[in-house]
Amino acid sequence: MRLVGVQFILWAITGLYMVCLDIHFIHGEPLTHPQSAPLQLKDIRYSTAQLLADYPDATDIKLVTLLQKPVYRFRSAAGQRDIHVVNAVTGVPLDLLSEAQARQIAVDAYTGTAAINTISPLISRDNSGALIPLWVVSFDDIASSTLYIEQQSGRIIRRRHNYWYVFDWMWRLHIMDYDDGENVTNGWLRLVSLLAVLAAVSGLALLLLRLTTRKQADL
Amino acid sequence: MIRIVMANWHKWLALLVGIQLLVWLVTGFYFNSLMNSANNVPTRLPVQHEGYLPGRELYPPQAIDAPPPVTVSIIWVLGAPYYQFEYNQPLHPYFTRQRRLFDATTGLPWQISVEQVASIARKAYKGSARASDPVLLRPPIDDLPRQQNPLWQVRFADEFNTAVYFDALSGHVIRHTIDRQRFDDLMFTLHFMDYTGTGFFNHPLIVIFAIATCLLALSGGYLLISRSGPSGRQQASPCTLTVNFVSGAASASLPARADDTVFTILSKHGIQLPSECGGAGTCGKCQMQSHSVPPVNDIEKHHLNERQLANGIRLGCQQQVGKCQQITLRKR
Repeated sequence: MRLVGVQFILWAITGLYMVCLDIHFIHGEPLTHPQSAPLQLKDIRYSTAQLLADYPDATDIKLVTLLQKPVYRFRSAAGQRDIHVVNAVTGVPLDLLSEAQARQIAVDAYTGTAAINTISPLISRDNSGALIPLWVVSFDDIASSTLYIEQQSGRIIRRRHNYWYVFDWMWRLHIMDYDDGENVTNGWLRLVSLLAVLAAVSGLALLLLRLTTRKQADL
Repeated sequence: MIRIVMANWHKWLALLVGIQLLVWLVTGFYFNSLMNSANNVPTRLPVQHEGYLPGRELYPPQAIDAPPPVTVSIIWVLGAPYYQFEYNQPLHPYFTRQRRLFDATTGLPWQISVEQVASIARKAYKGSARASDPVLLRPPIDDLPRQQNPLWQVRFADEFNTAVYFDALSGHVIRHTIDRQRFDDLMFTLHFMDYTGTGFFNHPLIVIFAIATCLLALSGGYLLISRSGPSGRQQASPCTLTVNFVSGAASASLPARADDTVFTILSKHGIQLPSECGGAGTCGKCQMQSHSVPPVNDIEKHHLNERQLANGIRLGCQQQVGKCQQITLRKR
């Protein structure tokens, strides 16, 4: 018990933190408004047929609103980028997002009232492991809320705040994977959880023993 | 004294969360060592829906008779393109989705037919087992507790009890579920105490248990490192503890040091006083009768009544041999 006692306490405390804070809150979902402005379909002058003539390999084609304008967003191997954005009114392709545009997207989406603290560029990996350029917009609120905006698409792909970082560390301590918190099947956890099961089972056995031998002791 | 209060709490907390603690440990060990189902469905096949778009005459989305959506996507079902008008942008696909589908060639409203779901199900399934007819299920769906949207379900009569779930409008595959995943899901249900099937771990029951477990673990840690011993200091000089037995067994003279507790000296010589805490001053079971009248400490006042104290009854773990050199026990 002395061997795994500290981990027992860590499991209890980290577990308590994780169940107390709503997981959607931790993921930063309340930090941004869901996009709800309807598309200005009637403004569209550049048709899908024209788009396909210009980008024959376009897939995942979506019409969305970006900075108050209808745009096509799609994947194509053309050029130096993976995700392309083309103005649906004029047919002009959009460059990578500028700092000013990122600022505008962040302010429009942010549900809080704090001002922007910093905006900085970042090259990061997306879910598929590809390197993508981002703008990192931090707000000056109590939780240091931060939005990560894809420069290619203008999408907000990550929402972070201090509670998330604490949660991340709680998770690492909970699963005993201290480097990146991605490996639930690590050997440390295996060893300690096995010992912990033994400790708990022996505790249960001692309890049963105590309940059954009490009468003899009284005699 | 705080130790006794804590020990008392520790006992009741252990009674409350003991079984769940064991469940957490066993299921946690399962996640760590035995679970490997997430991407391991032997009956799953990817379905290719996509076709070639260039050259097709598409109906312009702005001409479709529908309220303007937030997003229009071009999706593919069995090689044909469709417009998906999305009226909300849920952050997770299992949140309620408000959508309409239109045939991208004709612009007419469209949704998948039962026959088409059955045909996609055959493409999505590797094996020869017989498929059930597609059934449109409304949430809550047993296999997918988080899902808030209706889904088609097709069951296959195979050894894995494969069930395949499809999007209600497009017929795209959402998930294959087999018995191994249902078992993993059961482990998660137990680990998250999610007996009402929310699919999440933020609910009052587990919060209460987590608080109780924190108190249990912290009080346990405190009890483990703190021990209540005798009060007052004794020299470490050699002396002798004489033990008489009511049962008539021969008296024993045990060599000791004045600062040893009676409890440790007795157990060193094979005489075990009744005890649950091992001489830590928590259980109050290691009673003995002293011939002298040694001072009483708070621990003893808590565990013994006035009459016992007046009769010289003390706790073996709270008395040092220096002040209590002759004692009587009931039996050896």
